[in-house]
Amino acid sequence: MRVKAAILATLMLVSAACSAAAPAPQQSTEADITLSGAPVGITLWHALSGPQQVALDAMVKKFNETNGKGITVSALNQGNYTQLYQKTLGAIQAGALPELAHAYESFVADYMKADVVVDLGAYKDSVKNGLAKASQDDIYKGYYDTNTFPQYGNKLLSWPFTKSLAVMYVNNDVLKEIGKPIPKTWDEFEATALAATKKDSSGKVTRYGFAFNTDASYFNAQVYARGGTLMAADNKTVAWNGKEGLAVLQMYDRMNKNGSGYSPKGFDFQNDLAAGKLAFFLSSTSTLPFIRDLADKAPFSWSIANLPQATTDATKQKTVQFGANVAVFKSTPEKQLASWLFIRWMSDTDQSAQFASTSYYMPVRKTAADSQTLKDYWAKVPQGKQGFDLIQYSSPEPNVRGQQDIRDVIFNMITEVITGKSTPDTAIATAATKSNQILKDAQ
Amino acid sequence: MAAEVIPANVRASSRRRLPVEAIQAWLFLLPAVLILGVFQIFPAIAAFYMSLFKWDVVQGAFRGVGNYTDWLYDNSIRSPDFWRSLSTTFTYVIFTVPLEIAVALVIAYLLFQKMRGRGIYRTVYYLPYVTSFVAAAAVFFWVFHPQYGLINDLLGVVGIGPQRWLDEPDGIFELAASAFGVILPSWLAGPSLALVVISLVTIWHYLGYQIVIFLAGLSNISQEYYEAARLDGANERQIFTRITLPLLSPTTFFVFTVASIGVLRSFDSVYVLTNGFGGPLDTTRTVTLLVFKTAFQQAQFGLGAALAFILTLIILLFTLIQFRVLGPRVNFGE
Repeated sequence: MRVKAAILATLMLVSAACSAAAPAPQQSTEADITLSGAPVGITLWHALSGPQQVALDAMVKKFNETNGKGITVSALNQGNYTQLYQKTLGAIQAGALPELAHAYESFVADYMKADVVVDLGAYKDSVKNGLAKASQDDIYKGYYDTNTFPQYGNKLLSWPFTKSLAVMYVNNDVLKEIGKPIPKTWDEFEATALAATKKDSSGKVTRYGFAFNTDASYFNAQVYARGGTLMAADNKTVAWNGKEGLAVLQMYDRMNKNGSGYSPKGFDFQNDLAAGKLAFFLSSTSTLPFIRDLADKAPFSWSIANLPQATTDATKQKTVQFGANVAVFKSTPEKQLASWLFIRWMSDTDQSAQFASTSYYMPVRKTAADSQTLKDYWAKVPQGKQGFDLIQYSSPEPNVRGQQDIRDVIFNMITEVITGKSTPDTAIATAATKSNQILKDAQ
Repeated sequence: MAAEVIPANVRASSRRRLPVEAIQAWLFLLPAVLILGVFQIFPAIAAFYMSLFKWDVVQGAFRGVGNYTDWLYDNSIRSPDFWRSLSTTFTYVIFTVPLEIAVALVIAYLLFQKMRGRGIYRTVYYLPYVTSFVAAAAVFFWVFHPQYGLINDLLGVVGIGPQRWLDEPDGIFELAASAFGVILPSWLAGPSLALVVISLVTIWHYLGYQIVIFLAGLSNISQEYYEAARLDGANERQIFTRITLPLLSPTTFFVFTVASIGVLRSFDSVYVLTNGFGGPLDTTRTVTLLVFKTAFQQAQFGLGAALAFILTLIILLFTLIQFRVLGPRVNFGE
């Protein structure tokens, strides 16, 4: 009897914890209220560490001192992105969410299952607290696209925060030695990578052209750059299994066989590029500070360029937009507004430029480029400007539920090709079938 | 009269004493009950409850055993993943436990002999066990690094080409055969080289613990048996196989059971050595890693909890079989 009672109590506790997570209904006028000036404390969970955490803390401190509305933001690091995601899921179960959390699109799609995320559209467009039309248009369109969720009624559920994009890092010294320019098309790229490859007398490769990246984002970026798309128009099936995706795998296969490409372990490719053992790798613009550090220690000439493209037509260039955003969780109207005011402030021209120059992330506004802060920073780090100039070509990856699993499928597909376990045709066909099944299951 | 008073006194005093004793007993038990209750029993009950629902970030519809059948046969994505990970898990056990026990026994036997610096050796062999697995894994990454690793350098000296080790999805028998130009059918490929490397690192880590248990077992064997055997003219090999091994069988059985359970439910070794992916190509994805992926990376808590319970049942069953099959063969002395 007592045991039964204990089990019953436990079950009640569990279900109570879950129902506590269910939020209060939202009022339509919440975005237009005024803060009384009474102290409002809000917490931001994030995954920034090292110099980027220092950069964020400095911004938060400035906001707390200058907002004049009694808002105090506490920024708390929760480990890496995976840990942040897991802790946020835990907080949903426990009904103990922070007011704001740094999040990837796929995280937001999951949090939205619990209906805990605030629709920021009303805040953005609020006459009282929102952004004027010109100011809204100053923020890159791609940044709205990625934070707008088709499976949740096209609501704006997060806001650009720590943005970056997929680019190609180039060791200029290697290119100079072989007398080639930075490749603009994939054919040029493959030929240049092969020309950059060097072998010693025993046949061991001492310098590679290209470091394979098994991460799905760089496969996606290459599909974009070759003129392909990632999802079918109805978001129900994947579209990367067309001729562009196949061309990516076929190139990997050829480069693997002729020795111009290799699979680096961990972040070895960064050291390899700096040591002159590698000509190209694809990575995020946020890799910049690491390469800069290496170049400070042992100088070499490097640059950031767009991925080779299907055409030389500048209007058709494309790469993948990266980086995390920030979501606001449902709480009280005051706290929600305070959260919005903080992220709005962070994305103002001055703050955007300031944060970009200290954190190495991309500014979220076009006008940030006119600020003296960024001009000074780019004078010191020209590669920062090279990355910035490519933002206009960046498009987001899909943010549908199931995307996280599809990333694993793509990862395995590439691994199968570069370990010789599968031909490009078989690998891509199998991976697409599995991905479509995942999408079907996630609906 | 008197005869009635005394039992009454006894009864009274026992009535007085009993609640105090009971309270004392409960107070002594309280810390353990609280810790077990909060961190073991409650989560287990909560997880079981979760496993009966579609619990996808938040609690959804009641599914009964639906999550269980999804894993076992009902779902074309989940079910193959489960059976593959179960096969990987048992392969991991087979390539870890017997070798671990054999090596531990041999080293324990050597360390049991009277020799100079015995204490130092015993400490040295125990060190890996007290080393953090995460820290050790960082070192093993370098040892098995495909481009700059120590092992590949050593193999290079004897003329064997570099291996991909933790990045190698090919089976070890397949790799060995291909070195002689033989192509094996896929069912003979064996566990991936990556899984074998993980087995070796696991053995390295737990060896010290097994050795200590074996040393305790060895010291429990009475010296009289050895003296009698020597008087009868038994040689060292006979003494080992006829006296040490049989009398050590309770210890061996204990080590075998504990090690099997340990490997079946091990998570940290695979997680750390494969950066949480269970790669390359899922060839090292054990059931525990699949539980983690399902619950904490895909936010499918119901399915994750169900899989955790399936694993618990499998471990229980496996241990029962061990007791049934091996138990009667154990020599408990008396």
